Amino acid sequence: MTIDPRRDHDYARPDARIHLNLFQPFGPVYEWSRTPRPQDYYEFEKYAELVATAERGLFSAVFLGESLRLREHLGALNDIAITGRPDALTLFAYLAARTSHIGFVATLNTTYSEPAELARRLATIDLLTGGRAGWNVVTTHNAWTGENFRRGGYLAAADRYRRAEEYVAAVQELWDAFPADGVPRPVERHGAFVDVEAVPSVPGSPQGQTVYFQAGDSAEGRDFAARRAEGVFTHRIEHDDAVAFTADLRRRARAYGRPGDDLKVFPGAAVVVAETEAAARDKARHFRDVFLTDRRIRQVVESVWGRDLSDELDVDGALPAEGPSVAEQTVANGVVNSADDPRRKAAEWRALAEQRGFTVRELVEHLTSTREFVGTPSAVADELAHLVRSDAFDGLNVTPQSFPDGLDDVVDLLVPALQERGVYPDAYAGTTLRENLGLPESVGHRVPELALLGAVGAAVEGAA
Amino acid sequence: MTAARPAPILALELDGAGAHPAAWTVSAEAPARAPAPGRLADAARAAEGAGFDVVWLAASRPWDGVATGSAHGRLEPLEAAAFLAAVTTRVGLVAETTVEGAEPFHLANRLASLDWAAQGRAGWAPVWSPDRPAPDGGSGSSEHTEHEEVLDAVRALWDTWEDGVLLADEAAGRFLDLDRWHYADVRGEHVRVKGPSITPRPPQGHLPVLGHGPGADLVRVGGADPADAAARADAARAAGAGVVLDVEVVLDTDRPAGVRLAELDARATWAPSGQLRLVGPPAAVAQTLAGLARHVDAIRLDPAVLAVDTPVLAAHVLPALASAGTWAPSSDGAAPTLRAALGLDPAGNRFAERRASDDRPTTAGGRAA
Repeated sequence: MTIDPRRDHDYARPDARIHLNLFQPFGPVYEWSRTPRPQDYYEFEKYAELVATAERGLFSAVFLGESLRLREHLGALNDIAITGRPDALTLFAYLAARTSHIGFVATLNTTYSEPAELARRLATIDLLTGGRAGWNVVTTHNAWTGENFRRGGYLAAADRYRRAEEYVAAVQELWDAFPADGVPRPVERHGAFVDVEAVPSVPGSPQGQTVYFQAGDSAEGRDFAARRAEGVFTHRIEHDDAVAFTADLRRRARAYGRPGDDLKVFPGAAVVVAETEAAARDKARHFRDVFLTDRRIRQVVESVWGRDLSDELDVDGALPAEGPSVAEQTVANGVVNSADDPRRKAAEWRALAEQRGFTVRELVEHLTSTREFVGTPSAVADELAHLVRSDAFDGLNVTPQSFPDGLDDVVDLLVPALQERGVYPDAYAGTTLRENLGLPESVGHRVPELALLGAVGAAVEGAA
Repeated sequence: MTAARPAPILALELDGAGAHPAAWTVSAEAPARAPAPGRLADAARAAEGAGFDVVWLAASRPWDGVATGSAHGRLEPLEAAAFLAAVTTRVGLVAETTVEGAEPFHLANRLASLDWAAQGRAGWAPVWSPDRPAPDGGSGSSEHTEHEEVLDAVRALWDTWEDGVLLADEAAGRFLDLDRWHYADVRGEHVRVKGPSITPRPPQGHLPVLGHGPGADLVRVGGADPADAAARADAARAAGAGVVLDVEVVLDTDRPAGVRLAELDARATWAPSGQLRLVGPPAAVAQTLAGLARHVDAIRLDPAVLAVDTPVLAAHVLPALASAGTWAPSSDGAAPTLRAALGLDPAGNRFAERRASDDRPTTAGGRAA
């Protein structure tokens, strides 16, 4: 008699299945010498190779972050990493012709674009793919990003959420105004931040409308997800933390009359599998070494100190005794979330290094380590099955660690192990992203706008 | 613009059901509200097979808007062109985008991406707005200035990643060459953009720009009649630009073009668009086009009904032009870049030129340690 591991635990969802997405961050860290030509990182056919592997592995979607300004270091362009990439929707339009089932989720900012155009472009991708498009709604307010646009950094921090609310409502109305089997009608909306007078020109797709994603962690962000999102991108992945986060999201969604499980939660992670545990560890170590060059370690410290430390920092020694003297971290220094006082951050780092006996290298390795699932296919599959059955999340945004072959091992080794455990599909459920994520009709139709307009501003943060 | 090619290249407009607002009512395909990607792909492949040099996707039609209760869905041209890049191998792909209010940063990235998708076969046709092809007012007007600024800012962004910027020097830990990577630092009356672009320099350097307004590599002209079109084309050439002739065609099928047009006009008014409109038997239309050929560098054919007139173009008009020596279908072998097909010189780069003109290599741009 076989033992069904699903019955060993009192699982919240013993029959749950996991979804895998391909997530490519902006500015990926790959080993450059593995690719003969550096321009291959921008070639659409190379993306098509990577995405074909994902589709062979029955991945639900390709998920791209966005950047509206190239990352800098100490106020100057940073030559340390691969950066730049094709425009997401242009790439997705191309890949639409190379794929048949996988979905495409683009991170698109509401601050420096207009809803009528974005609604048309997303609806076009949704039609070109036969109903496989998704939109990760993000917003920004910083003036540094604004320097790439006519209006500059025009939005106050608090107002960006209000604009985002109006923006998404306008996009929803434009989509509603041209259903797949209907005639377009004009839309006119005038708000504090968004004015729209337009006749939609692109009708709805076989999935009805594009799937909404969101990536934010604050209470406002979670509430926005509960009202507006159908997928959530998060960093929360450790069992207890993830279970609590997902339960909180589902509870908030139910408060808006939703079933709760119509909100799919995707933490980001790297997955490193090999035939043996030792081989998997070696591989993970190798990727970490490629990432953490001496120069990158120094940059991590410099971004907090706010100045060039090349003459005084020994990466195998201790943090500088002096400084930092700057009062705030800035995006231009290379810091993404710059809310912290660098002096406080440096004090935290010094305390941590002292307590753990870390060199700078060890400290930075500790600080920059991202969640990885490392091991044999069966070990990783067991761990993932446990997490998804516990309702810690619905799937993973998997970041490949090489290009374009970075999903080969996941698809060839891990996916069969997941299938053996009954936790992964053997075929696509349908041809649309909604079908393949198990989502009902667009949340834009199921949550009344009255509830949306009555809500306080929501926080949505960039998935970079 | 370099010397005109001996023969103009031929472009086919593929947007929607055709140039006539009633085209959808008589398309061979059953009228469907949703644009079908498969049909668009088939149409592009058919155009490529017939020898057209360019497939063109319009941003708007004059009758777009509320008035048409019959309105049919359309795809955004730039995304549609990227989709077609994946299903064609030789044909050029020109997408219209609107300029009024547009952010050069988004345009530069999207258009550069289209050129990466099409491996150097992409072209950009800026139009001022959904209602107007060119900005109002002459040189010095606000709209005119905005148009010039948007085009220049997009080109500046395309220059921000110079050729050779990608080092991938793993030993030195440098993926990029800071001497060949630049801020655009555009600060105009209407547009501002810091740069660099997100998408690296397009394979062609600069996409060819085919437009009505200032700053285009090739200027689009129409005309009330062939003589008018020839005069407009000559004037544009005299001003130093290449010329794209916009031509709407209604052709004889098993029924005379005039009868077909009357039927279409009875269903919807086809207001003059400024394009040259040719109605008649394919031989006569080919003869008129042949007569105009030496005045222009490209002819953009906009069939009244795509599904009906395009096969006639392919079967009769193109062969007639070929046998008259007016046009040659693109031959086998490597696909030309669109710049090359249009006879444009390779694109320069303002930053490379600035660097070359310096006596010493620049260290500007904040070289990191």
